[in-house]
Amino acid sequence: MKISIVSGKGGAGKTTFTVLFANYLINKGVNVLINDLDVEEPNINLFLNKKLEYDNIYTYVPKHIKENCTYCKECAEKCLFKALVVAKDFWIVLPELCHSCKLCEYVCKYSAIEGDKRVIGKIGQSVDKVPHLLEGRLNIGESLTTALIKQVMCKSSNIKDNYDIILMDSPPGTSCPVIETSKGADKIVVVAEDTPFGFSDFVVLNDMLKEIGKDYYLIINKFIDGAEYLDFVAKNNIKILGKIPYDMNLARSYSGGHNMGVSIDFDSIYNTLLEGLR
Amino acid sequence: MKEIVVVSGKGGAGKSTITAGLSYFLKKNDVLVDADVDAPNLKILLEPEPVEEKDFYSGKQFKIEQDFCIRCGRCYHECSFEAIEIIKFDYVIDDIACEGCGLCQFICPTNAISVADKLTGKKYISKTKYGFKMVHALLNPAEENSGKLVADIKKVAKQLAKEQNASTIIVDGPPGIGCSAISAVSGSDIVLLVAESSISGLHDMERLIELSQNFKVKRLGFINKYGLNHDIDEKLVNLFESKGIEIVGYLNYSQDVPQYLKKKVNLPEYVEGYKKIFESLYKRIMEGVE
Ligand code: SF4
Ligand code: SF4
Ligand code: SF4
Ligand code: SF4
Repeated sequence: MKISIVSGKGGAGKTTFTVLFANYLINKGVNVLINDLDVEEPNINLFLNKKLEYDNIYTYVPKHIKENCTYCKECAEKCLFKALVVAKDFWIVLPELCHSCKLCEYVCKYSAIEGDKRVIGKIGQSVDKVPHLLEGRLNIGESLTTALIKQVMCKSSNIKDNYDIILMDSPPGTSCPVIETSKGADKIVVVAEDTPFGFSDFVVLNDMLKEIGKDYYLIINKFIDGAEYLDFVAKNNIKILGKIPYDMNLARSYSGGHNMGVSIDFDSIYNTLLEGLR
Repeated sequence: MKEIVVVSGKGGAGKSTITAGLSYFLKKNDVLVDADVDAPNLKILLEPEPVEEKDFYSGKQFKIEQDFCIRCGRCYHECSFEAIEIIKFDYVIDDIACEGCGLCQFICPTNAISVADKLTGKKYISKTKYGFKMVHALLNPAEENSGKLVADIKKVAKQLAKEQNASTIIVDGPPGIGCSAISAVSGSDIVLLVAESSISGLHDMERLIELSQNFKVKRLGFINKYGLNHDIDEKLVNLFESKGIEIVGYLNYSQDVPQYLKKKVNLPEYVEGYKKIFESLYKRIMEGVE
C-alpha cells in the first residue's frame, strides 16, 4: 500500500508524522519503505541518521554539433522556455531554463543538435533497510523538481513488492510536484496545522485534491481547538484520522531531530487506513 | 526605493508572521507583495480589499482538435512528459501533466493541435487595513507558482511604488530554493533570511545561504523560535557569522504565538512587547539599506 503524506505548507508536521508512523509500523513488524520526495529540502534523514549511498540523476539537455549548424536560429525561436540563445556563430543552452522537452532536436533540420545529459540531483538509498529510505535531493537552484520526483517514484516502484507499506513524504505546496506524488497513492494523508495560515493552505490543498479527484484523510496537527477545520470537515464530508495536540515538548524534540515519544493513537490510524483496502 | 525580500527556505519557519509584523511599520504609500503564491497568507492578517484585479496568463495550453486528429499516435509516443492519454480511442492532453513545450504541435502531421495562452490565476492590487497597498495573486487549483508569476507581480509592485513615490517594498518570498525563490530574490536590495530554531530549519538555511550567494544583494539574518533548541540556536548564530551575515533580530519561542495567530492577530499591533521587537527589526533593516 502506498500512502502519500501531504500538506499545503511546509512545517505543518508532515515529516514528523511520517517518521513517527514509520517507527510505529516497524515495531509492528511491518516492512516499510520511506520515500523522501520533498526533494528541495529532504529532511527525513535528519531524523533517521542513516548512511545513504547516492547516485546522480540526469536529465536530457541538447548538445550542439557545431559543424552542422547554419545558425538559422529556428531552434531558439521554437523553444518555449527561452532556453536557447543563438546568434551568428554562437549557440548556447541555458540549462536552468531548459525543461528537457527535446523540441529543439526535432526542430533542427541540419542535425546540429543531439541529446546529452546533465545532472539535476541525486537519489540516496539507505544501506540499512529497516526502514528502507529512498531520498531525492535536487541540486540548488534547479527547477526540474517534478522530473526528479518521478525518478525517485520510479525507483521505488521497481522495489515496491518487497514492502508492505510505502510512505511517501511529499513536497509541500499544491502544484505539479505534489500532484505527481498524490496521483499514484492508494491513500492520502493530509497533515494540516491548526492556525489560520495552516487552514488557508489546507483549503487550497483540498481544492487541488478535488481537482484531481482524490479523497484523503485529515490529521490536524498542533491542535488547539480546530474550530475552522471541524466546521469544514462537517460540511465537506472529510474523514479525520487524528489530532496531534500542540505540545512544547513535542516541538522541542522535533527541533533537535529526535524521535519523539508522544502518545498518538497510531493503532486507530493504522486500522482506519487499512480499512478500505481489505 | 528599496526592496526587501523575506525568505526562509522551508515553509512554517514564520516567514509570513515576520513579514506581516514588519509591514505594520510601512507608510501608506509603501507597497507589500505576497509572492508566496502557493500559500498566500498575508491576507489573513491584513484584510486586503481589492482595488484592481487582472487575469494572469502563464505558459501555453495545447489542445488536440479531435476533428483533425488521425490518431497516428506520434504525439503520444514523443511527449517527454507522458502528458498525452488515450481516452476511448481519442488522444487527449492531460493539462496537469503537460509542460506546455509544444513538441506535439510541432510534430503532428495534420496540424490537429491548437494552442492558446493559459489562464493560471488572478493578480490583485489591494488596500490593506493599515492603508498601504498590497500586490498578491491567486492561482487556480493545481496550477503551479512560477518564477514568471513572481517576477510579474514584483513588476506590478515596482510600478505601483513608483507611481506612489514609495520608499519601501517588502516582499513575502515563496518557500523553497527553486526558481520562484530565485525570481523573488533577484533584483532586490535586501534579503532577510528567516531561520527557525530546528534541525530542519538549520539545514534549510544552509541551502538557502548557498543559493543566495550568487546574488548581489545584502543579506541579513533573523532567528525565529529562538530558544526552542539551544544547540541549534548556537549553530544558526555561527552559521550566519561565518558567512558574514549580520543577525538583525530574534523572536523567542513562545506558545503564545500560535494562540495569537489563532485569533488572527498581527503581533506588533496588539502586543506591546512584540511591537518593540518588530520596530527595532524594521529600523535595523532600513539601516542596512543605507
Ligand atoms: S536549428 Fe539547428 S541549424 Fe538552426 S541554429 Fe539551431 S542548431 Fe543551428
Ligand atoms: S530541450 Fe526543450 S526546453 Fe530544452 S532547449 Fe530544447 S526546446 Fe528548449
Ligand atoms: S505540449 Fe509538450 S508536454 Fe504538453 S502534451 Fe505536447 S508534447 Fe507533451
Ligand atoms: S500527432 Fe496529431 S494526428 Fe497524431 S495522434 Fe497526435 S494529435 Fe492526432
